[in-house]
Amino acid sequence: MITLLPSHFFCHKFSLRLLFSAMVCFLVFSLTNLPAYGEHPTPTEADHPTLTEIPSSPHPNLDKNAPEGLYPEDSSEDFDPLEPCDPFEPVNRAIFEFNYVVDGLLLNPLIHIYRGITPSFIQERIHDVLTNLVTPVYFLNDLLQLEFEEAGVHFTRFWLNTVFGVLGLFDVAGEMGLQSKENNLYQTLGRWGIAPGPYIVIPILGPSDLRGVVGTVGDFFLDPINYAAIHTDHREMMNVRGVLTYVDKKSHLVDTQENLSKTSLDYYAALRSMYWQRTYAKVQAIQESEPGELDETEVVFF
Amino acid sequence: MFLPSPKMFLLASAGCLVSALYHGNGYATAPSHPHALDSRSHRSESSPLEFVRKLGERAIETLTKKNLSNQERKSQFTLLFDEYFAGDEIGKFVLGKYWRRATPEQQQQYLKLFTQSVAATYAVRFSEYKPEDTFQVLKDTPQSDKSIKVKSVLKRPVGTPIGFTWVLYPSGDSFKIYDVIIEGVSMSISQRSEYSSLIQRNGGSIQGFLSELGKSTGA
Repeated sequence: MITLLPSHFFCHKFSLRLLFSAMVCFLVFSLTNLPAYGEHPTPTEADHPTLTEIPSSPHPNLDKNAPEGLYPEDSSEDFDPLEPCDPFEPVNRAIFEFNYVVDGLLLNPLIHIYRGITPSFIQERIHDVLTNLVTPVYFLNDLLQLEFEEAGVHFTRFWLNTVFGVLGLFDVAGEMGLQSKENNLYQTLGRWGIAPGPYIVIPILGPSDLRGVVGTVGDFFLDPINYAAIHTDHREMMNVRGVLTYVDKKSHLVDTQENLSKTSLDYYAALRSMYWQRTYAKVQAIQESEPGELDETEVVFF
Repeated sequence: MFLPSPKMFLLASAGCLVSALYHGNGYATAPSHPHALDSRSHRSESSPLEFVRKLGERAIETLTKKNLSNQERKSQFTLLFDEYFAGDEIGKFVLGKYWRRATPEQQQQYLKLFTQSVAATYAVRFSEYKPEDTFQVLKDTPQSDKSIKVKSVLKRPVGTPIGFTWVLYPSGDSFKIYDVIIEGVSMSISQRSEYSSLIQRNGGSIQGFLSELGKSTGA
């Protein structure tokens, strides 16, 4: 997407404006055309006289005396926000196959080598620096969601770790109980009621959805660190950061991914469902803080 | 005419990479729980917290041993699964709309294969966890439908902790587990999605699906 933009794009206000208008169009389109979370068309009594509830998890008496309609069978799967929407499945499967081969032959072995030769101390420092660099994006998304408490946490984390954690090498704030919580633009869009749209498998990068792609591009443009890199003419640092972020994320995931691909009957469907549920949970759970996560921690604004 | 330079490609892909990865495949990242409510897990024997704590303890003890063969891990898992989980109900849920379309014979065959398949699957998935991992039960929340959600966390020496939520229903004087939600991902719903995709790819044939399921159990 960005590959087609001219090299002076980032300094070009007009192009930026274009991009933002495109994003706004997308938002409007989504709001008007796609059902949002919590607004899934509820079947009326007349459509399904006995449809009371779609089971969201197994429960006792699922079979015994279950009224017609208690099974997902009788209700269209469209009603279930946890069922992935995948109209481009054939294309997605093809890209997925491609990713699977590239992962298996090239990327996963490289990740295993990285994990094998890099001391875990270094791996953790890389992880901490990258987490610190992305914190401004989380902060901006907190603001977009009017989550001022979280914004305070991210703001404090960023400057504490940058100053006392030697440019983010050490997660000093984390040690003090200020835990980082991912907050990206796709979560903001979800919070605003925008549905994920269709599931999309991106070459090399893997599972996403339309909202995720828009969020990803938007996050890139939200990131002050990117502008800093461009204005000081250190664009190569962005490449380094991109590659390291990929490696860091992947090194935490590779075992789970390999395990899942070994143990699933339909790896594509398994990963798709997991991606979909995970994204749903992340969008839904932004406000719910985990037990013990924040309640005993004094959030200090400096 | 504008032609993107190789540098532009790198720049752009790096940009995509950076932010795509923040949201993509993120289910191994977990929120951390600095304050585990340990005191609460030592209540009466029959509390949901105690029930889950015991299961976690036994699972780590029996399933994460270093030189355990997959076969042994499988049979250990089956023991725990039978004792703690509502296997048949989970099986029915996971087959979703196809449960009713199956003949009684197919249903019986399916339930048998389902348990075996779960054991085969999770025996391998459990090999990821290590004896050094610690399992902490955090909190139980009764739900309106009589179920109880128990939150717990698995802490590993390296990496972020993993959040597990267990869905329990009372059964006799104890409980049965109906679902496990790992970092927001319900194992039952994932499995249901996978099975229904598989059946659709088999042209809606339940028999074809059963034979594939049979193959996967490694029996």
